[in-house]
Amino acid sequence: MNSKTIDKTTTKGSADNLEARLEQVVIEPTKFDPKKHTGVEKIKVESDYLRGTITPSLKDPITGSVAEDDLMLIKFHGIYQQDDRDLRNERRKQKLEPLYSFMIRARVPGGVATSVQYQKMAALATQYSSGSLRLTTRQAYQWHGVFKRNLKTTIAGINHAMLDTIAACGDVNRNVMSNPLPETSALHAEVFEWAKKISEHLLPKTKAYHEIWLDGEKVSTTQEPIYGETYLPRKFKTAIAIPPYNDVDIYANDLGFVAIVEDGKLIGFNVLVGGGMGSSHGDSTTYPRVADVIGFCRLEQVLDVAENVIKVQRDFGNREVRKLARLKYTIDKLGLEVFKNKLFAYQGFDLAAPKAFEFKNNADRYGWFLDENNRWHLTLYIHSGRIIDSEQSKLFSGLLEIAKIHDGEFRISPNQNMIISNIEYDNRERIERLLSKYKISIGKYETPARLNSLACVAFPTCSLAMAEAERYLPEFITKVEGLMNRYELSKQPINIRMTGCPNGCARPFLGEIGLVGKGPGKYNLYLGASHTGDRLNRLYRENINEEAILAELKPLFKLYSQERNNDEPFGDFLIRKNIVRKVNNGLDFH
Amino acid sequence: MNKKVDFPRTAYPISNEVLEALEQFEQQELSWLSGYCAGLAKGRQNEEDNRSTSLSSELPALDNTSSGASSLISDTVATVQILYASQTGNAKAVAENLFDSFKNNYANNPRLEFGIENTNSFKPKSLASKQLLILVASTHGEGEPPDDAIEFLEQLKGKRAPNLNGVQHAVLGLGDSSYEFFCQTGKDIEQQLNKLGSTALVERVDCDLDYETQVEQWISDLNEKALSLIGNELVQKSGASSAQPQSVVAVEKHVSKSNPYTASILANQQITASDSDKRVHHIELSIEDSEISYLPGDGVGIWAKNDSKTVDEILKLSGLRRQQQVEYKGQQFEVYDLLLERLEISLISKDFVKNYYEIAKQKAAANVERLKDILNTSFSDFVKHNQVADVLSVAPIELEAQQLVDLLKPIKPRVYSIASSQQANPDEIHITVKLVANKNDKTVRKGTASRFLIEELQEDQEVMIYIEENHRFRLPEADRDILMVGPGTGIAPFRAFLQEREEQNATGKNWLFFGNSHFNSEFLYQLELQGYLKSGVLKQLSLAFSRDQTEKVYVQDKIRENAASIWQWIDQQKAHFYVCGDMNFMAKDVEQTLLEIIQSQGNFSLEQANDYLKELRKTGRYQRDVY
Repeated sequence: MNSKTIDKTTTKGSADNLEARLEQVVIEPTKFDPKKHTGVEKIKVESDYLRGTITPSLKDPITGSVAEDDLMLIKFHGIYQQDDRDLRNERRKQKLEPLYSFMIRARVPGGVATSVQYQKMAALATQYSSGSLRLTTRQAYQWHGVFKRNLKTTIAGINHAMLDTIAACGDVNRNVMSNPLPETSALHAEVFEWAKKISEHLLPKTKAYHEIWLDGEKVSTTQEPIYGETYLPRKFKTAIAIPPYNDVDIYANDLGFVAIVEDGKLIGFNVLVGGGMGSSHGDSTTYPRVADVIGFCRLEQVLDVAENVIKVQRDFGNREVRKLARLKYTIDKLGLEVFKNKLFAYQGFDLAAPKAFEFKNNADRYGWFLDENNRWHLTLYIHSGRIIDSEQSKLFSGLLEIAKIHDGEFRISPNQNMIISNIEYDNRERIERLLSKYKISIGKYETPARLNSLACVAFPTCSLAMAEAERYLPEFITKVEGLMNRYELSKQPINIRMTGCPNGCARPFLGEIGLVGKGPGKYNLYLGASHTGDRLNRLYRENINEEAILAELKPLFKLYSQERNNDEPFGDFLIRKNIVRKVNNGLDFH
Repeated sequence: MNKKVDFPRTAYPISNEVLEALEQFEQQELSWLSGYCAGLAKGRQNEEDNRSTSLSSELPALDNTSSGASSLISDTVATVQILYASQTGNAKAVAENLFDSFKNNYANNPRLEFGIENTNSFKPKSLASKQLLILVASTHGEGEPPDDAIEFLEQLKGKRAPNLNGVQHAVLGLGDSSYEFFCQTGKDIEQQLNKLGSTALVERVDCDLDYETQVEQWISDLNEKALSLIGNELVQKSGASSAQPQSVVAVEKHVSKSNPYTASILANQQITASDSDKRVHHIELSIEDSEISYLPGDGVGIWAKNDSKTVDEILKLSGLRRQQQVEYKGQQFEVYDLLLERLEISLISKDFVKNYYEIAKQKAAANVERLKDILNTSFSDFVKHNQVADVLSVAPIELEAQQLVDLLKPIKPRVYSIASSQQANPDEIHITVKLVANKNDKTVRKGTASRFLIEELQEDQEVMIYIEENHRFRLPEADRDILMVGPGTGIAPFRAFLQEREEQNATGKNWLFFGNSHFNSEFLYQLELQGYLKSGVLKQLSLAFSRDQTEKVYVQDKIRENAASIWQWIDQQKAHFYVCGDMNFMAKDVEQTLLEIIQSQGNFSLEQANDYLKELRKTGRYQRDVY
């Protein structure tokens, strides 16, 4: 379904007035303004290209934390400091500081790692983190609970596996997502290469990373050609989608590329800008927003487009109020037309009119799958992306055993599942046996509602969480399944997404049922998003507990079971029935 | 326990009339009078011949008011030198008690002179000029002398030791019979005195942990025998009564070991994280309505109760019931109550095993020879992991309740270094307690006091305490720099030091070395120490967490790493160096490291470095509170 209307005015400027149009925009890289800009901006500018005092901080034996300013800077290196919130109060009484540890995120373009790389990452998890790996909604690997004293060794180990963590977080372009499942393997491989190229092209050029983590020679960084010394005003997310699958949730990204194929050949990408999930409770100046399609670029233009979208955001993004700094607010502030003009001036060419495309859904396809080259792929169901040994499933051990006999790849899906990719025909049975030995699910027995659900990390490690998510979602889904079963909806793939805060890591505002943490055990209930990820949901009830949530859903499920059209998704049904008013885009969200 | 002592007035150098007159005074008047008299006495003393004794200068010279006192002076003057070698203050307290009793009895006897000193500050050469040498010495760990006595003993053994022919001595050793080398320092000293020609005036006394009775007897004996030095004449001024001299100077209201104070628990908080295998508690005791005063460095004695489960285990092993009646110190008790509160059931003495072995042998108990093996071969190792119940279980026999009680020693209090400064916490005493738990073949045995404090005592409950002064562990002047080495619960007195230095606004710099197994779970008082670093009270904090990396790192390694700065602090800035904690490993390694630093940084030979360290010890710049 291609519901996006294409803006005809975006496109052609004739060659005649090209120069005139270019002259209208003066490109002046943003400068730090100490009077107006936030403290974070000051930290970035004064950090000597992301060095700060990270090295002395790592050596300080008195605390498990890093210095305050470094908390911000380490994000650019792919690291967040966290603490075990379950233990905070107890440790305060024990006269101990909070149990600080670090989350490390590896940058894995398109979420693709070789089997050998996977084994190395798992070994690091066993040795230095809590014995588990976490797959993120943006196709990255995360290690949680790494203590400061092990940070450097762990990061060196990740680099040893030919992966890195640079720019996995921070105010830069982060991990570039791409559709992970190669239905058409040649096309997929080509698109995946673009994901890597964009990711590399947009990396910060500072030598700080090698210097701090890999004992690289100290070489002074003189400039950041794309970012400048202020970097971006806020994080920046890029994804590539191959229709008809929108599993990357392209509309939730700052910058999106939709692969356009003609006669089986990749000819270029539609360009989308200004998507994003994050918002703050009770602040209507913040809102989630789906991205706008602004045109089409040919392959050779891709890197230019990416670089210049970044530069426009660099120079026009809000550096005074951090929560209004994402590209989506820049675009709404400038107006889409003005933004497009500026982009034109920065890149020196116009985008072509966007091509038609259609998405079917944003879900994963579980189980075995054969591609056009007769290679097998297997998608596993992994709850909330957590690869851990539990009583139900020895997932961590099992995947490691599979990695030992598998010579293909491991691919992370944007729905936090794992795809064992390019399996040799002869290996299928062995892998099946390991799956059953370690009780690993391939989504055969879970309901579509469970398979389509997403949750963020939340408690105990995320410092932003106001309510549970990952730890609570399975239990909540069980209760929802009870209700759905009652109204014979068990086969319906309703997207349920839950986050501990409105920051939106599990893209809750694109869930047909979105639950966003408000306080312990309390959530805002959002309804009415599309099933393809191109329409936001709307707040339906505020600050309610589980009992109230289920009580709200019950009559809606009943109605849905009785009055839905053929194949009508739950979100669309609620809109049609005027139970929820359709959200056109971010400014219409509140 | 706390008996009031009536001194026989005949022992006083003052007439009955005067004494009776004094009875009528109010307390305030008496206080005023004491000062007045002191002044009066001082004035008169100046007129006197300078017949100085260490005693007469301290006491009001009331004898001078009566005529003819000097006519009793004979030509013989005997000099008595009391010396003590103390680590925790017990030996010092005994020596002072003795000194006080001499004062009481012979204050006005011009033919007896008394002096009391620490072995540390005393020159062995001058021993030869004394008539009676009285030595009180404690012993530590595996027969080691207290810091104060190390050099004294070396000199007695050295080439320049004095000839002590004609000198007499009396030695009292303090020790703990659960250690193999019981009262070894006392024994060593006496052996050396004998070699140098001195003879014993009274037989040496070796005191165990419950030494009060023995000490009282010894003091009383010495008071009597002292007269023999001057020809056994009773030269007291008034009356010729032959009443026994009295020894113990007791002040009734004063909180002491035998008159403990009942403190309530204000807080009892584990300060290791729950995933640590060490259980360390920070405990705050209220002394709000007491007159207790203490200084940083002092210890607090805890009278703990035994574990009722262990008591029942002992009763069961001996075939006894809780309610069986027994006699103890002239009173009737139920055996259970005695075992719970009055008798030592965790520490094992050699005597106990011997006596139990004899009884078990008579009863032909199975396995009885195993007890003999333990006694003869593995005693010192056995006592580390086993308690009374374990001895009984080696060869269980049915005992009479009284028999069991008679086998056991009185429970002794356990002393913890105080972790607070009274200046900072006027009404509180804080301690840092680690649960002692030793695994043996059958079970886990816990330390008496640590179990009681950590597992039994809740907030608002009560515990009996007293102060153990420790004059050998004191802060220097406020402008002096200090280095503190206190891994594990050895940090306790340094917490008190830091609190005190903060209160004093001390200008001297403070440098702490702390260590434990794990940073995350065993960084004791982490938040407080971070605060002290931030405020500048701590100049430096060096940390060693031994098990957070493959190679083990200890405080002594951190000391070695900082050799140059430490040398600068000690040699140039005249800093004081303190060590608190484990004696057998940590303190030895730290001392070894310190010696290495003195040698390498000061370009000294080993001998010179040893002398340097000795000098530090002697001048109080190297102090240890080790256990």
